[in-house]
Amino acid sequence: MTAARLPGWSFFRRFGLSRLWAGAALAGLLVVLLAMPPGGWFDIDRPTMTGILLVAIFTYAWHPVGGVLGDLSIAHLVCWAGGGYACILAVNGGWSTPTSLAVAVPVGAVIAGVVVAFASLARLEGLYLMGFGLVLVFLASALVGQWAWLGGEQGLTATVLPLSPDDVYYLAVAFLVALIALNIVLLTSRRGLVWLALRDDPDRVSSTGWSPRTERAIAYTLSGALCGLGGALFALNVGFVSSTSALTLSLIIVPLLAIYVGGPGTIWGPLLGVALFEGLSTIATGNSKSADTAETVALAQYLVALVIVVLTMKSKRGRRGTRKTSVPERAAREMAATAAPAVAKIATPGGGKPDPLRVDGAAKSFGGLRVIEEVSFEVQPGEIVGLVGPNGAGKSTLCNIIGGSIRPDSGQVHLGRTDVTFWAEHRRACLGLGRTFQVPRVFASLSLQENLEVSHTRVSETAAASALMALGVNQPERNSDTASLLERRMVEIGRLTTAPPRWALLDEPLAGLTADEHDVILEQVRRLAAAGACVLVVEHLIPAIAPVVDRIVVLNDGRFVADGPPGEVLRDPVVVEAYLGQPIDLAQAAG
Amino acid sequence: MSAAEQPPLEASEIHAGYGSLNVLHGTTLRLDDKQCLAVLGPNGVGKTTLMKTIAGVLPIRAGSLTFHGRDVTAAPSPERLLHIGWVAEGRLLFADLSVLDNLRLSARAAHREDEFEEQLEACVALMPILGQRLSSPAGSLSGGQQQMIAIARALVRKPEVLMLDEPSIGLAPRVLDDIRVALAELRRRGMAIIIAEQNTGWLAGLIDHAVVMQHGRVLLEGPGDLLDDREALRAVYLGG
Repeated sequence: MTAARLPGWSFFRRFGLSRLWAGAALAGLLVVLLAMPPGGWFDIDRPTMTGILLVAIFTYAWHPVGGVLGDLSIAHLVCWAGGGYACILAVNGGWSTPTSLAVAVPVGAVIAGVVVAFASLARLEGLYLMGFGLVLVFLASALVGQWAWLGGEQGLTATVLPLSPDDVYYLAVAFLVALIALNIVLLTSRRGLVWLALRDDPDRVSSTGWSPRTERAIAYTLSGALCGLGGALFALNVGFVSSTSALTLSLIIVPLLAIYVGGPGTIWGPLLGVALFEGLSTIATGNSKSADTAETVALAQYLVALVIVVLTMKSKRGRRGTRKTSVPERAAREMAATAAPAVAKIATPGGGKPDPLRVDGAAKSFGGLRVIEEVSFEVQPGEIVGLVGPNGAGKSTLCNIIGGSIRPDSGQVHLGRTDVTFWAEHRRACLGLGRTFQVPRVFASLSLQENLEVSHTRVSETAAASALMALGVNQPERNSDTASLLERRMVEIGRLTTAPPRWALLDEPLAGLTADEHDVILEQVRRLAAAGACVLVVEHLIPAIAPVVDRIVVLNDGRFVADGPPGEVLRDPVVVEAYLGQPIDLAQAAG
Repeated sequence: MSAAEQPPLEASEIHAGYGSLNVLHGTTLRLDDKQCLAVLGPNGVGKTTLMKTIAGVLPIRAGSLTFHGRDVTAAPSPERLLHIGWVAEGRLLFADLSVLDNLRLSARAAHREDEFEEQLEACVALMPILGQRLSSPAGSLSGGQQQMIAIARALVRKPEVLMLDEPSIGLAPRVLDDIRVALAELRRRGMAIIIAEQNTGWLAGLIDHAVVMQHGRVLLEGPGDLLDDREALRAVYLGG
């Protein structure tokens, strides 16, 4: 891996993801910052240091959205400025300092909440989201200039300065340390895994049982609240806030560079980036006897940045590094060896009543083209049904109708006794629908075992590691970009064995694998059914699945043409014709 | 043997795939002059991958490919596509451009613009329906007509070999019959043709030779009447 070429890089990454080590490093940082004499070091005195700390505060407050989620949400500048204005207004209104700081929190949260609500409604992503943020910043800036109660173009000045520079310094140190601690907790928690996964593949996150929309809203609101508080501190530092001081794009440039050069979604990357961009240039400007020194340092920092970017480019998604599993490998291995049935028995809620997967008269057209015509079928608990059919028969569409990413024009989908026709994907997953995809959709930002832990069903580290080892995937704490196709597919299967589904939907689980590998996968499919799941397997390799399935249903041109035991169905002339085509009458064709 | 006597296309022991996924595990086939060859097999055996590898959009990992005895294993795709008229699966037309512009663009890319009028006339003679729709946006035509545009788009480049990937996909039998007639006429005129298909029914009487693929290799091979042995084909497709 390319990243490993950077000296000490792998240590740096590991170190970042153990709570104990990260906590110790953070305590060290706190001690160093508190021990800083008022005159400072390297010509950086306390007020200057406060400036650098405020940049770091913006960076870490924005990081949950800008780094972990990977959304370039420039609109968080508005939260920052909003917090600043709210705080100064409160101070001028005669409120106490803690209250004035506190009012900035809901202001930032509300602004971010409105932004994410609009972004979700309009489905803004990537450059569009960034453009939307830019427009908001310019709009806010223009509005603020118009409003006399916010001081107009001149900005808003505090009538009293309630905090001394030293007070602001200590508050900034405390807030930054708290923010880093929050990022540590986030990145070592399941929620952090979900947010990292959202940056890779939001749709796949739905099928692990999390709502991408809700998670995004939480991240934005949290980050907005923190930015609001940061902005308040920023305003109190100088007792002044204006659109040119708090709403300027240059404020977000360093945090953005710091996160993307240091490593988005890492704990220490943003700090490294801030030190590189803000710290170095501050030293340069402070120390420079001539403009040349400043320019040399400026050049040097961008060269270093370029080197880091180039060295880590290949593993751009694997930048976060992997967490060393806290489970000793041997223990996990033993567990894997003794856990003979890899799949736990599924409890049927409300007694032993069977709950089949049922599709009633589902139909779907795309722009006048009828892809599925009134299809009905059932899969019973413990049963494995193969869904086959030639290319373009409508298998994927039917699969997506059951999974929830496509809504049928008519008809219903039942999971057990629940009608889920209008349910979102993640709700179906929470109810117990498990899916695997034809091209394994493994979250590249997560390690192999974290790909299992991210499930809504609270899969522990130990369970994830041992499940993967039982499936023949060694070193489950590896970055997922090192995994082979079989291993990636095993991650998909492992998601099902660690969180046993009541209904399982497997889309071409054998595609691209060798005959030996087929047996390994099919054994797991058998176990899912033995544990009581209703299993539907879509597969092209009919001879391979025929010995495993109880029934085969054949879809052709959006209709079922056969349904029954494999031995009968595969000799049915209608099925043979669906695959081989109708033999043409040569005499007639010639005429 | 002189170049003219060498087969227009010969692939030996080709390995190819996507990323860590190997799809072709040593595919060997030979297309003789004026021959119509069918590459058959169920979905997922590597037919499309083979077409893409011959067209040069996927690299050959091992094995060799020759056109008329000339080794093109390392030749870039644009160079190979001067010889091979590739009609990709799903047609891949520019839906908003007119039929005429789709065809002209293809001829220009192959540096055959000076002969375009002549080639266009031949295509319209072969598939008259195209003549009536030349100025319509390609996306507004029916599936069968779009397949004809895709074929014409390959033909205006004056290829030595016409290579079709699942031309029957999504087409009703009657529409398919028109395409069949056009291909039969091309074959009669001596064009070398490769057709990758899952649906074998419509190919009877059209092809000279057939290979059946399984797991990225050629499993069965024989003359055109291989198609008549539906039980053998059924066993490959459906097992048992």
